[in-house]
Amino acid sequence: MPKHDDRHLTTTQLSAFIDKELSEQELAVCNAHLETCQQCQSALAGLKQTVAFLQALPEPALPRSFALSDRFTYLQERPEPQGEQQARANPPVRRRSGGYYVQRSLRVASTIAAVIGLVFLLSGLLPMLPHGESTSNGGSAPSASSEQRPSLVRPGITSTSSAATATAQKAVSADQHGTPVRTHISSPTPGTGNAALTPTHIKGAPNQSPSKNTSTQPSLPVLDLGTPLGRQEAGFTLLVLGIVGVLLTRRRQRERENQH
Amino acid sequence: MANLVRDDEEQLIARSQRGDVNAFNQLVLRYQQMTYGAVLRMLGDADVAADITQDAFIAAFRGISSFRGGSSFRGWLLRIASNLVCDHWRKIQRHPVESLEVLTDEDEPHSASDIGALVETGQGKNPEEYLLSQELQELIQRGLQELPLDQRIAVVLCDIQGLSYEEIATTTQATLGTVRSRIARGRARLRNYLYQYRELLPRNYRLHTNTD
Repeated sequence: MPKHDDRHLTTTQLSAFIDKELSEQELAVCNAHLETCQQCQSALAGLKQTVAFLQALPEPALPRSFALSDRFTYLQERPEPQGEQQARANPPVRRRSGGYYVQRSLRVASTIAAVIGLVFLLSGLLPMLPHGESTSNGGSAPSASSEQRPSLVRPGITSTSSAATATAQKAVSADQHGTPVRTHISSPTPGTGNAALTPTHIKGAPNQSPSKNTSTQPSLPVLDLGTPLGRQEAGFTLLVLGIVGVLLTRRRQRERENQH
Repeated sequence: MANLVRDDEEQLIARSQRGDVNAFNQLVLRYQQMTYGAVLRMLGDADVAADITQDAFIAAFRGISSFRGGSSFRGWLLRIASNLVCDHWRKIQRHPVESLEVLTDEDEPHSASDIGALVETGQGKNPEEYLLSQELQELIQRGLQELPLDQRIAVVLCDIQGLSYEEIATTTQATLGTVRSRIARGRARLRNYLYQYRELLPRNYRLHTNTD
């Protein structure tokens, strides 16, 4: 046990002395030493002064209120036996909610795309239906659609087959280009189309024409909304994209729900 | 009265734990001054302190289900806040662009006329009697920022927030011995920092106030 007066008090002892955080034994040692030691007294005074300055610091003015917005959803965590990591768990709130909004808007966009796509598809389909019944005079829109294909594929042919029916044209153009033969083209002979068959042919055409066009003519504009065919193509693409988008976002959401 | 407040607080905490933002906001109103003050003293930058205070309350609301009644809500909040301060500190230490250097480059107190003899013997002084000048406040704040972060946090929690050593140990997740030594070294270092400016100041603060 060292004598009180020949060993100065440490800063830690002095500091704890100020806070009355010394054990009784330590406190006795400190008091005894301070009685006689000028040096430790002034060291203590310096520390006390420092503490006094700190305590006298005014409370800073609040820059704003930190109340949470009740419109914002702060995902609360499940009760856990230990509350150790909570302090660091702040950033995920925003990230998760941000992802949620992105996903939400993606899904809405996909749905809209699918609906627009469907409308485009139908708008391409509708004008073709009446065309099958009235083959002779033919409305403006259907005739445009029937002539569009050959003219796009090879302009030279259209002049010769202006009066022919749609099926005839299609069959001819298909034969001449050597494209993969479709089911309904293989049966009729070129030139004279059977009147009874035409409606079904034309109905089948819209679904298959895009693939035919793209295969024969790579430089075809993708979104040619001026023509029913272009609309159908765009509609089909949008519909597919939209469905894929909805499916993807739904699956991601389900995964997220499983995590919680 | 104190019991009433505590009961009320427990109710607010319980409601917050069920997800009631409005109840939690009453706690925010109660503790935002304390939290912001502590964070500001730890970092010295008002904007950063505001951001961290906000983050601390968001984190507190998210994690409030882990808060156990009986312990001090204030200490729990301060732990969240000082953890965020540590995170922030580590981040700016990794990218030391501006932060501290800028502040410590111009250490000179602008006007020394009304600052007391900082480390002259000042026994028996009542802290409440101090009315610190703006310059002295800034000087103390700069001195705080000179301290290593762990000492700074311990000193702020002890001398500005008035936490006991035990509470500080819980808050900073350190042992009592560590807390004791951090506080002591922090105070001594701050004293030495302030002492450097003693030459610029009137010799005897006490005499100065007495003659007034």
